[in-house]
Amino acid sequence: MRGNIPAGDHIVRYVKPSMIQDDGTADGSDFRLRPARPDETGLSVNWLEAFKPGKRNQLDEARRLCRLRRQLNGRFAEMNVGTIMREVAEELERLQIVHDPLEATGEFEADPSHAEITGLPPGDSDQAILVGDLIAECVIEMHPAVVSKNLE
Amino acid sequence: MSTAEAQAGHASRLDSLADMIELKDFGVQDGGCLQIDEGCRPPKMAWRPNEHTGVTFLAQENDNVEETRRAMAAFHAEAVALGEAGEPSLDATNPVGILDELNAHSSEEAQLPSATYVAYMRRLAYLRDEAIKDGYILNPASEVDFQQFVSSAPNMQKANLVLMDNGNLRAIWKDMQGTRIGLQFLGGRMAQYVIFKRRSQGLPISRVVGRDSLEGLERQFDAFDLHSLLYK
Repeated sequence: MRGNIPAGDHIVRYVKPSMIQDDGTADGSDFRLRPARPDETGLSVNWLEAFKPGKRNQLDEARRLCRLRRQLNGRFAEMNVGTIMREVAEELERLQIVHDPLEATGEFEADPSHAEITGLPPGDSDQAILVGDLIAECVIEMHPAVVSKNLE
Repeated sequence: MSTAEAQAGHASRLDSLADMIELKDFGVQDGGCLQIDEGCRPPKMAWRPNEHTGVTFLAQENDNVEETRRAMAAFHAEAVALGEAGEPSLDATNPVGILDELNAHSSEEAQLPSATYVAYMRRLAYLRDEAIKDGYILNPASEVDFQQFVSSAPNMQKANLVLMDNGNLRAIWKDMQGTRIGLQFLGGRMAQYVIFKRRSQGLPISRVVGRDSLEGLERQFDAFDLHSLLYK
């Protein structure tokens, strides 16, 4: 069932290396729909509170179930749901963050944490980059997207 | 030459000035010099311009000098890059890169400070590699515009640089007070700008997004008083 994620909860989004700024922060251009994918309806994120408590466990589960090809220098950007809703509301009232769990497929386990940021403007519009920058300002922490077993 | 002759405007005895090759201190340097033409009788004093076209500005007290120098540097860099040096290589897979090629041919004034230049070179090489891993390439028109923009003012602060999934470069300058500007270089000397500006503490941040030519961006910087963010 697609329901809104509670405002007090947290989400992470994988940010690829080319969209991480020199100072290690996520760039707003990652938080917009891809112009080359007009079928996209939202940005994929993972709802941390869908997993058992403990930030480390939640991040480990998000890494384990993530279906994206992650790179060593990629990062998970962590954000608070309520902060995003409040900051972006000034520019975009229709934005929502909805739970969208993924069923298991042949090669992937089910992902109960998958969620989407919906209601975003078209990716190639000027408003999209403005909203993207607003969301990027809500990032509270950047986490490694890949953790080497040797470092654990 | 007697005082009476001088007052009469008589110049037949200018031979005594023949050893004087150049007269300076007229506020102009390298533009030319006054010389005695010995071929005439009586000798005549004539202004002879230099053969090269370089100009050095001496009026340091002028408030507009820095702006003029910046504009001249930008113009000169562009002229050198597009004229004398020929068209820059637009091969996005070229490991040397457009920034390197253009900077090598730019005038001394317009070159980026070496530390900034090296940092941009490394960053561009990194982004170029990441683009290939992700299955796309850096847009060469965007790279040319980025280079021309950042080299237009040698005193420009170094920007954060990212590569968008459409292949365009985006440069971001920001401060700790929440003011920021992001420029996506679209190619064709156009840029998309996003500006967040905190005009004073306690007030909401002003935000604006739009597109303008590289030359027109200066008007946006003026309107939002962004010069301290962009320039040293």
